[in-house]
Amino acid sequence: MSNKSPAEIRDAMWKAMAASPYVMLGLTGKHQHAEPMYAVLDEDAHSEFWFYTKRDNRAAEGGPAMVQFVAKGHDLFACIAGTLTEESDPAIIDKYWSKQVEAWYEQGRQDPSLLMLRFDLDDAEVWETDQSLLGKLKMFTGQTIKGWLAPALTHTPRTLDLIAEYGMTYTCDLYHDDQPAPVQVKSGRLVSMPYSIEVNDHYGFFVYNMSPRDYADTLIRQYERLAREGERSGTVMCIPLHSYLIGQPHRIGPFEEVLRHIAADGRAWIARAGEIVDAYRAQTQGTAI
Amino acid sequence: MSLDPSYLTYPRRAQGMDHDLYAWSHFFERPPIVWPDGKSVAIWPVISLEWFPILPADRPFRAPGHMQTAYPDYRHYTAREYGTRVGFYRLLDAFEKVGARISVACNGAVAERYPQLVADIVAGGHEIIAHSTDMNGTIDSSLAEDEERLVIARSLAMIEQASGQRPRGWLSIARSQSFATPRLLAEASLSYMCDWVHDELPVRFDTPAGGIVNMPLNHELSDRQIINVQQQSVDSYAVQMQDAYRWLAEEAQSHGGRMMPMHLTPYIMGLPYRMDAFDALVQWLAEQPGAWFATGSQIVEQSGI
Repeated sequence: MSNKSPAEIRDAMWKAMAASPYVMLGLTGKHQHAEPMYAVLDEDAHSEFWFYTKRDNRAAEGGPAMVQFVAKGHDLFACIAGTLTEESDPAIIDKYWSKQVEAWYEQGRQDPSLLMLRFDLDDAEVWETDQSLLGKLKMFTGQTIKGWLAPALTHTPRTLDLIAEYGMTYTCDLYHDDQPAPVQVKSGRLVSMPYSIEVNDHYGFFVYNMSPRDYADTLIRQYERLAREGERSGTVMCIPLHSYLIGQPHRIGPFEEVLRHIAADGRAWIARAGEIVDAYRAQTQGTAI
Repeated sequence: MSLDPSYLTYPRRAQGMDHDLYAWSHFFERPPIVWPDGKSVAIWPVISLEWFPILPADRPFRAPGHMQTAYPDYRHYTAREYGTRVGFYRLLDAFEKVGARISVACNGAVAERYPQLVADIVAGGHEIIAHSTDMNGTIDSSLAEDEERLVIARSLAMIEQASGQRPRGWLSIARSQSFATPRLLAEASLSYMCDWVHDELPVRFDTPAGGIVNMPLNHELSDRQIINVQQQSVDSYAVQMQDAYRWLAEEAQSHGGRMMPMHLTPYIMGLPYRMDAFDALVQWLAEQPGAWFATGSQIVEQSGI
């Protein structure tokens, strides 16, 4: 076994991939072959890379996927699990665009078949050959933080510009809507994700003095209304929780019933904020008002 | 030790009011009012449309609902904007579903900044009541008369510019007036104001600049008072409004037309988890045989004062 730290192994993997960014890519659980792809890496991105491809690619639909990598000198091997998503940010598509990439598309950058896929890494296993000894280590790549919730929900006038500059894609600190909405920032692109003060457990228990069952009833009403309105255009229901409040024995039972109700209903897509932002951007190209 | 005799001498001690704005009258002995089609209770919904500048002016005072955290208070700014973007349309839908015409108390700044809101209110046949300039446009007797006159004139001009109609009604922020306000509103040719909650029916005021009607927009029946201040549920709010309606309808049998104000705040009542109960309340009210949904102007006209 290697005595390298996970950070050293991660660095070794990125270095080897940068030197020879050819990988095999296949969707997980699909009975189809993997195919060779050219990975677009960014030295500042430690949990994602991209592929320029076409809409008829067998991986175009995205979802859970696996990437296999063999270093040029056959001294490092990696199997990386993650999720493929269409990259909807034109700035990213432009960022890595080159003459070599352009040669693949008849109509260049505007070619309708152009598809850029982002691969978000979940975890990787990396093998190294070291004097005929094969070392195997499990490595977690860690996530890049994409969203921001301000402590005490306070800001300076610079905050939103700064978090966008640092590559974050969404803020949870604006409460003006029940749908995601674009936020104008100096650089980068930012989406407002509707967090909620009003159905926050803190508000329920300490502002409105609700009992646990009243709070559960409030969440179900919130859900029912937003689900009905969402039939026309998708809405977002955020349930902000504090484990020291909702996790108490007299509160957690009614809350679990709420989750069962929502999960069984069929109209809810229970998702992480980043996935909601991705879905929103893919449909609106981030330009919707 | 005996009371200083000066406490007991008061030059205006007599039956009646200690001001000249209106004559005293006994609520239960006035000639009965008759609403159209023999209806017993005029239901007067008023939705407030408020724009809070992110920098509170605090002069003369900070309006209820204004910013609370350090600058810039995105939290409260955007939570209030939720009302104008989302909540207002939910409330409007609830009333339009039953064919009700309502009043909307609108900051001049809302009319200026969000012309679509004004267009939708006018297109629905609803009435706009002038509600100061913005939520920094508060009034009390520390405000110089010229400044107050300017607040009123600017509010009316901003709304008229956006709606094409000069408002007939006025609502001060937090219902707070100076001693000059009724006169200044009459001077601006407004027909009615909604600031005094001393009565349950329209009352004519006489000022040196002419007459003006006061329409009592009782804050005790508002969503802000019941839900935000008293922290009662929307179900309880709905029951309280039904109780109020039943009481007033009963009183109308022996005393003539009654009026029930419903003062609503889009960022309070317009939340998803409150709206279904509110929709049901509006539906219930519309089904009451004695209910007449009306705008402030319709009620003033019909009351014949």
